[in-house]
Amino acid sequence: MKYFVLILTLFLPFTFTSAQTSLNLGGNSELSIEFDTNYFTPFAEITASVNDYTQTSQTNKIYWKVDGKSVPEFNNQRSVKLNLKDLGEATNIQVFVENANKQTVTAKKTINPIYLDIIVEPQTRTPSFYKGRALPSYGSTVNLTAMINGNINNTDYVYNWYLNDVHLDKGSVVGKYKTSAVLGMDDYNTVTLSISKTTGELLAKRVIEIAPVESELHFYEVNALYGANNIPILNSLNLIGNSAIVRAEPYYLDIKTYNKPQYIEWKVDGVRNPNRNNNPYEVTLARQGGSGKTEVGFHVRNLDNTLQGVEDSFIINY
Amino acid sequence: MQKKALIITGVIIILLLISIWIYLLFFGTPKTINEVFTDFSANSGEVVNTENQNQTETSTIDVTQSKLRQLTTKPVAGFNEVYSTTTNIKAMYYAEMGTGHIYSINLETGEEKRLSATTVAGVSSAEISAKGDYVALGSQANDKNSTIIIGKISSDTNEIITKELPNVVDDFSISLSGTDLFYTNKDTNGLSGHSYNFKSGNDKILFTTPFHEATIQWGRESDDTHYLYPKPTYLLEGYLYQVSKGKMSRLPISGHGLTAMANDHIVAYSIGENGLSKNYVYNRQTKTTKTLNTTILPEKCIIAVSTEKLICAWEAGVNLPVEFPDKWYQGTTQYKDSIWDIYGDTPSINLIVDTFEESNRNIDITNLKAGVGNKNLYFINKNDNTLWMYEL
Repeated sequence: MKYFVLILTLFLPFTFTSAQTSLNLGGNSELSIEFDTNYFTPFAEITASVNDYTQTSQTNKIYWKVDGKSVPEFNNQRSVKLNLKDLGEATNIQVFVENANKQTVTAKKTINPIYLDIIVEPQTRTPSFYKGRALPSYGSTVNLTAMINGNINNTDYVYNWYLNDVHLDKGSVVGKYKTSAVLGMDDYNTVTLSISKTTGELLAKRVIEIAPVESELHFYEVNALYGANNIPILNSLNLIGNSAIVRAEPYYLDIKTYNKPQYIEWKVDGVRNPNRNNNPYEVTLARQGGSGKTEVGFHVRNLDNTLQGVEDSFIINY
Repeated sequence: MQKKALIITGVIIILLLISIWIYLLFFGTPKTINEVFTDFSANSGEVVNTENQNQTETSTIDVTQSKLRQLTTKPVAGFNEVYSTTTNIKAMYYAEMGTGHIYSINLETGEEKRLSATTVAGVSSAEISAKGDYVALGSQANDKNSTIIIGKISSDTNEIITKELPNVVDDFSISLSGTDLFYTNKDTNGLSGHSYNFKSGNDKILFTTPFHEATIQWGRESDDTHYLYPKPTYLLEGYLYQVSKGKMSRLPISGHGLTAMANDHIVAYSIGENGLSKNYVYNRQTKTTKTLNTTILPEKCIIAVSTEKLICAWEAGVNLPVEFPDKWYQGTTQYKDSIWDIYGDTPSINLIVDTFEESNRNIDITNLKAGVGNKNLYFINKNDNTLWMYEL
């Protein structure tokens, strides 16, 4: 039994191995360092604050050490600002608090900077020639991917994903660096990700905002040989030959709605056009003799989620 | 007195009108139809005469005009300056959009020749090797599902021997030496970057990412450093990564709408901040960042391999929309570009040429490339996909 007590006495202090270590050099309570963020990126400016509310006697003097060196300008400051170093370079912060009894209490923290990237990939429509990323629209699905320092970790870390405070994946999951979410109808959606080690130690926590947009409709003239024009039809199209193929591109429409639209129609001068084109997003406009101008309209919509839809029109001069 | 003044004024007006009429009659009449009408021929389509496929078609392009000149009227899917060490002649090889036909323009004589009449439907992008022996044609006949047709260009025949890559491809490029095709392939796990050797047919994975939509800045050769970031959009954050010796790591560059060009010395990048597009250059040695006065867009920029220099196209004094670069990719905003020399270490910029002032045409530059020895710049005008060059 006495051996057990001896072993416990020797090893008990080391069971509190976390980023923070608090040493009591004569005081009678714990001291801690708190930060203004849970996400420490390389070169970031952070604010460290001393938390001595559990101290029973008055604090008379505070001083700080960064990487073992005293920083005189931080003396008697409860909060200090400092810059972190590059990836792979740890910063050690230590605070010393001297109380009225001339006893000194200290707390220490080691910060290893980390990049936690959340890559948002909306599952909405953009045409093949479009070189940008699609934008999320109201009620659309987004894929979310987390990368730590440019890599993925699917074995050692526990992922907690939230969308607007609702836990995705029904709870924390080891190695869940990817997830999906359906955005709400609000102007802002908040995605929160916290990653912990399997020991429970928090590695990083990030919050990002996703602002959905309304779908946009642009019309592009399509050449049978060369494909779609790079420049959309801006208000009107002049019919040069006998016919023109026009493609409607509903940017940022949820891909499920785009692939299986519940309501889709072309209108010529307000009259529904029975489009016989294989591609329902394309219409062939042929000259019937004479000259003039005609309004050509297009409308696509998900009737179960009416915000997932768009309509617009252009004028064709012939 | 009043009547006399009226008569004098009338006579002056009549004389003035007569002189204007005489001027217009002899000097103001347009000499060509192009001075009156816009050239719509770029998208007017072309009938391929299959009976003449075995005959070499030649025409002559005036390559001795001003330093800025238009090389094609056909829409171009891709191009490369090809330098023959045996004949010491530089030629421009290009692939026609829609058909994939390959043409060469002798940059000294202006002679244009069709090298390949093999038609590949729906070609929208192309890459040609520096030696002019291989071509990769990106066909998007099925819209999103892009396939790559690899062709061997031969001087013996005007057909190319084609082979289709089995993978669906998102982005591709040919190595500087012309031996390998770099391409990306999407699957359920994400995106993978490959190097395909033309001769051996060996396919090597260069990197994998868990996300699907990436803009890639390929290295010169497969063992060089490659850079990538999620495709840009003004509303979502992007992050810059580099792939070196198969290992992917994060660079300290991120932001909404991120677009970037990087080498071992610098990273020049643009991000959106408080509704405005801001441009910076990050020195990788000193780890310091400075403000830059031009927008960095990979389609409009080239970066030197081992110095802090860039060349970029951008319209001077233009206020970028909040939704940049999305609106440019949609085609809803266009620019009248100038070309600029950028010294990333200062950083400072110098005007090379104002394309509108030089040509009186609206040239919205994309696919900017430098020729052999950086003597010429080549680019496509996004408005009509025609190929242009500027002699430095």
